[in-house]
Amino acid sequence: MIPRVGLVMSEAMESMQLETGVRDPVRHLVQRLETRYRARITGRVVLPERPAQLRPLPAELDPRLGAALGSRGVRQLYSHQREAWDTVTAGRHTVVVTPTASGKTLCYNLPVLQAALKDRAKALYLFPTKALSQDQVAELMELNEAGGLGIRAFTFDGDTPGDARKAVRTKGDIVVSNPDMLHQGVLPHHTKWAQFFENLRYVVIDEMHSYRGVFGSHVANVIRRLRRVCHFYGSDPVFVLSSATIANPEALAEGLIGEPVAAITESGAPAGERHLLLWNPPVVNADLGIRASARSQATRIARMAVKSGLKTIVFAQSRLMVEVLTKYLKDVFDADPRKPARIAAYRGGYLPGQRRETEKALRAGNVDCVIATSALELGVDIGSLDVCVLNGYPGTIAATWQRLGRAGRRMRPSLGVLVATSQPLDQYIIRNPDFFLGSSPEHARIDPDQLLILLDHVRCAAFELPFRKGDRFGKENLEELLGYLEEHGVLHREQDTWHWTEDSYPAQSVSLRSVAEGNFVVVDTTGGRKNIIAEVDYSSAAETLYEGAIYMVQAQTWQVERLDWTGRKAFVTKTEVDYYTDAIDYTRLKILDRFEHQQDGRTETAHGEVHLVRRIPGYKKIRYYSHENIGYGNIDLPDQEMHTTAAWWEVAPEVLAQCFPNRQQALDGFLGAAYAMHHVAALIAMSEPQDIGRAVGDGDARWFATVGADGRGQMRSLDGGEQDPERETRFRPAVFLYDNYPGGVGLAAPLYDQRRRVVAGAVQLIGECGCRHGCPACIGPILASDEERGFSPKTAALTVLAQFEDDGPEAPA
Amino acid sequence: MAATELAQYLAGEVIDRHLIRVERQYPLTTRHGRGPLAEALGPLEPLVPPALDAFDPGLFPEGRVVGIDTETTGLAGGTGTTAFMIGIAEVGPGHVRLRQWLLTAFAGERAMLAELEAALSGADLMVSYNGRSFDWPLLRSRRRLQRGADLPEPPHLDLLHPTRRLFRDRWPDCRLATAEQRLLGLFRVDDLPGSEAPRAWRDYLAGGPVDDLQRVLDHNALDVLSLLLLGPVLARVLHEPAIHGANPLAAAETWLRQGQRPRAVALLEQARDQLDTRGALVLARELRRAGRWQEAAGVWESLAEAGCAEALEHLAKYHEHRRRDWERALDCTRQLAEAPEVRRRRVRLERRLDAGQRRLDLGPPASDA
Repeated sequence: MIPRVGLVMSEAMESMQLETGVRDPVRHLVQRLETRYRARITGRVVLPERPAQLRPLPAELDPRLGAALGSRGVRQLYSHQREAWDTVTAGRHTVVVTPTASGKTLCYNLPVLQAALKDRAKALYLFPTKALSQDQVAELMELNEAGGLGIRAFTFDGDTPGDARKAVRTKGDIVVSNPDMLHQGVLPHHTKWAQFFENLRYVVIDEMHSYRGVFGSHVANVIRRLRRVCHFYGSDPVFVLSSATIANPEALAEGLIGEPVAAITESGAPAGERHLLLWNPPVVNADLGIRASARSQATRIARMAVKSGLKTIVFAQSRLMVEVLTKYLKDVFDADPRKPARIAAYRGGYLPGQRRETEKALRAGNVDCVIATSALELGVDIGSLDVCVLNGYPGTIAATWQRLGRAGRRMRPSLGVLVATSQPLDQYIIRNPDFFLGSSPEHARIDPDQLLILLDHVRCAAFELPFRKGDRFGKENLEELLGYLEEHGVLHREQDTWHWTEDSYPAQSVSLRSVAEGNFVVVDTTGGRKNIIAEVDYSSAAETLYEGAIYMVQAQTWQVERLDWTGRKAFVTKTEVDYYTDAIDYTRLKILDRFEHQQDGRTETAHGEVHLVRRIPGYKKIRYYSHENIGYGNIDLPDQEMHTTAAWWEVAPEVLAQCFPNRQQALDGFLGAAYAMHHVAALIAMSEPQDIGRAVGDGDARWFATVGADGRGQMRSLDGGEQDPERETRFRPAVFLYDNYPGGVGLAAPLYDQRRRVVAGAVQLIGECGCRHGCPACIGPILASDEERGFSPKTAALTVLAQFEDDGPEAPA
Repeated sequence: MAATELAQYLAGEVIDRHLIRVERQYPLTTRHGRGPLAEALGPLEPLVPPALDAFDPGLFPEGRVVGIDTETTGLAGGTGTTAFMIGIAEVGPGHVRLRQWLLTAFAGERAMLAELEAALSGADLMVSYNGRSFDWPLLRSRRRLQRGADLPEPPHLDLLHPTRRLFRDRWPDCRLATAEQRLLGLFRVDDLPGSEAPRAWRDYLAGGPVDDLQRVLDHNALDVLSLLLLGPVLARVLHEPAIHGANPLAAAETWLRQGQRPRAVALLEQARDQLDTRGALVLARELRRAGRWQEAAGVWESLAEAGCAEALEHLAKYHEHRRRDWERALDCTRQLAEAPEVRRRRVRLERRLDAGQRRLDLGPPASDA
C-alpha cells in the first residue's frame, strides 16, 4: 500500500506544477521515469525539435486549387511537398518517404487534382486496406468541397454495391481501391474500364512499405499487369508512392513498378522534440532468467502518462494483449460507469463502425488512452498524441519507428517507450540499444520473379490480354513460361500469340496475401460456456492446438476437444491434469543445389535449394517435474512438403570431435545455436520469425535433430525412430535457416550474404544473456536438471557458434 | 481439320480465313415443340426492353426482331472468355433465317464481330436469354480487345428477367431448357449440354475430333429458335398468368410498369385468393388509387387481422383522414409498434378525442375562448 500512496502524492504535486505551467508535462514525465526506474532504462535518445522548411506554392497551380488550399489555411508547402510536385508534374515516378503527420497526402493530391481540373485526367489510388481508402476519400473530399472543385472520387472495393460500380468506372476522376480489388475485380474486366484506363495519368501507391515479402512480390506483379493493360489503352501513368521510413525506399519502389524512381526522403514538416526510452522489465528470477512481464511495465507507464494529462497510445502485439491491457487501464480510469470512457481499445476484429467511432473520439481528444494492435499503425487519422508505449518489440525497426511516430506533435515534445518482453528478439534489441538506435531501418525486399508467384500472374495477365512473341513480363524467360502453360492446356498458341482457353478465372484462385493471416481463437466451452481465452498464431496452431493438446494460460490447464481448422477455432474444456503435451515435429531437409558456398575444410556455409518435409505425427504426454513420458497421441495432419531456399552452416565431424566430449553435447549445441540464429536472422531479414524456419540435421536428410521431452537433443531417423548419435556413420550436423514459403521469396540469399552478422548476433544474444545455462531469451528453454549435471547448453551453443564464426577467409566486400 | 473441310462437314462456307458461316432457313410451318415457328410472329406486348419507354405496338411484329445466343470458351466472364460461336435468327418472308458463325481460330474473331455488326444494324429488337449480363457484355468486351468501335446495340429484350419474375417461385429453375419444356413443349433429344461446348471447341483447336462441333451448332440453333418463340409466349402469359401457372403479381406489376392500371387491377382481383401479403398490399394500393376506397379498406382489414403492420398503418390513415373516425384510427394506431411517426399520430388522435370529450362534458366553448 505504501508505494501506492507515494505515487498518489507525487501525482498531486505534479498536477500543481502543471497548473503553474512551469514545466512541459512530457519532459517532466521523462525525468520522473529516468530517476525512478534508472536500472530499467537501457537506452535513451532525444531527437531535437525541427523547424518547418517552407516553399511557395507552384506558380502553375490551378487558381481554384490554390483557393481551396487557402481556405484550409495552407499558403505555402513544406519542402517535400513542393519537391514532389516538381518531380511528379515533370512526369517522373516518385517515392516520398516521410514521417507520420507530415502532410504526405498533399504530395500526391495536388498533382492529381491539378490534372483532373485541367485535363480531366484520371487517377487510381491504392491503399493496403479498405479502412485507409475511406479515410483518404474523406480527406480528398474536404479539399474538394473547400474549393468547390467538382472532382469525383469514389471507392471501389468489395463493399461497392453492384449498381454503383458502373458510375465509379465511368464517372470517377479518382478511383480509390486496394491491390486485391485491382487484381481480382478490375484488371480481369479491364474492357469495362476502357475509358478510365485511356485517361489514367497517375497511380498513387500509399503505405508502400507494407508491400514487402510475399505480398509485395504479388503486388509488383499486379502492377506489371496494370501497366500492361494501360499500355493497351495507350496510357503510361506516372506512379507516386509514399512510404514510412525503410532503408531502401527507392529500390523497393523501383522493384514494385519496374522503372527508375525519384526518391524524396527529407521531410520539411516541423516536428517537436522527441524522447525515446528502451525499457527492460526487472529480473525476478535470475536462475531461470525470468523477468517481470512487459504488460505490467507498459500499464504502469501508461498510467503515469494519463495521470499527467498526456494523450497516450499503447501498442500490443496481439488482440488478446490489447484486451488485457485495456482491462487493466480501465480498472484504473474508467471505474465510474456514469462518466464517459477515457480508455479505448482498437484492434482488428472490431466492427468498422466501432473503429470509426474510436478514431473520431481520438481526433476530438475525447479519449485519453487507446490500446491498439498494428491495425492503428497504418495511416488511419487519429490526430497526434503525446506518449506512445510499445508493449513488446514490433519485430522490425521500421515498424517500431512507425508506431512511435503516432506520438509527436508539431510544436510539443513527445515520448516513446519500447518495453521489452522476454522473447529473444526483444531481449536482443533491448540489451543492444545501439543495434536499434544506431542502425538504419531494415530493407524491405520483394522478389517479383519468384517462379511460383510470377507464373500465377503470367496466367492472370494472359487472361487479361493475349501475350505475343517478344513481350516481356518480369525477368524470367517469358516464352518458356507460356510454353509451360500451353502444354497444360491453359493457353493456346496461334502463330505468335498465346490465347487464354481454359474455362476459369485465374485471379480468383490467386490470393495476394497467401500467408494465412487468421489467428486461431481458443474457446473455453466448459459447462456450456463460450469464452475466448486466447489467440494463437496461424503458424503455431498445428503444434499447439491439436485435438488432445493441453493448452495453458497463466498456468491453468485446458484440453483441446476439437479443432476447427477452417473456422480457426479450438474448443477447449477446463481440466486438471498432472501432465502437459508436446507436439512431435519432424522437419528434415535435403540439399538439392548449392548456389554459393564458402568452405575451409572445417566448416561450410552455403545457400541453395532444399527439399523439406515437415510432419507433426503425434504428441507426447509429459508428467510435470519428473518429465516421464506417460503416453502418446496421434495427430492427423498431412505432411507439409516443399521446395524452398535455405542458408546453412555445417561443421566437419573431426572439428566437432575436438570441441565436444561427445556427440550428444554437440547436438545440444547445434540446437541452441539454431534457436538464437533463427531469431537474429528474422531481425536481419526484416521478417517475422515464422517467415523463416529452422532445422538441425544432416544435409542429405539421413537424420534430423529435435529437442526431446527431457530437454536434450535427440537424433532421429527418417521414420522418426530415435538413434544413437555415436553410431551414426556420417555425423555432420548443420543449422538450416529456410525460407518458409514454397519456392522461397528471397530470404535465404540475404542471410547468406549477411552470414557473419547472423552468427555474430547470435553470439552476442547468448553471451550477453543474464541467465546461467540458457533460457527462452537466448537458446530456448532448458531444464533445471542441466545445472545439476554440470553441463551448460549455453556454452555448447557458443562453442558451435565459434566454429561458424571461424569460417575461413573473409569474403571480398 | 482444315477450315474448308470443316465448313463442308458442317454444311457451311468459309467466309474469312478463320471463320465459317452456316446458314439455314426453316419454313414457318416447321414444328418447334408444340407449335410451328409461325408463332414467332405473335405480339410481344407488353414485353418491352428497358431502353424503350413504352411499347410501340406499331413496331412489332412488323419490326425486325433478332434472337441472339453465343457459345463461349467458358462461363467465368472477364476478358479471357471468348465467344467462338454466335447464332442469330430472325423471321423472314415465310421462313426463319438462321445464321451461325464459327471461329476456326482466334484470328477469325475480328471478322466474326464485323459480321455480327452487319447482322445487328437495322434490327429493331434483339432478344436473348441472359444476354444482358452475359453474352452482350462479353461481345462488347471482345470488340474492345479487337480495338473495334462499339457494336450497335438495338433495344435488348432479355427474356430471362420476365421468365424469372413470373416463374421464380413456380419452377425448380429458370434455365432456358426449363422454359422450353414448360412453355414451348420442347424436349431436346441427344442435346449436347451447353457446358460441354467449351471443351468441344478446345478439342478442335488442339486438333481433336470435330463431331461435337456439329452438336454445338445444333444446340445453338435450338437456343436461338426458342428465343424467337418464347417472346410471344411470355406475352401471352402476361395476359393470362393463371392458366400458365405464373405468378399473377409479377404479371400485374409488368402491366403497371406500362401504365396499364385497370388491366393490372383486374389480374390481381382475379387472383385475389392466391395473393400473398405483398400482392394484397399492391392490390389495395391500386384500388385506393382508383378511388375504390372501401374495397381497399376491405383488403387492408383482412391483412390487418392476419397481423400485417403495414396494412394497419394504411387503415389508421384511412380512418383518420378519409373517414375521420378517430376512435377507430386510434384503435389501429395503438396496435402498431411505437415509432416517432406512430407516436405523433397517436398523440394527435388522443388530443382530438380528448378535446371532443371535453366539448361533450363542458358543452360548447365560451365564445371569447
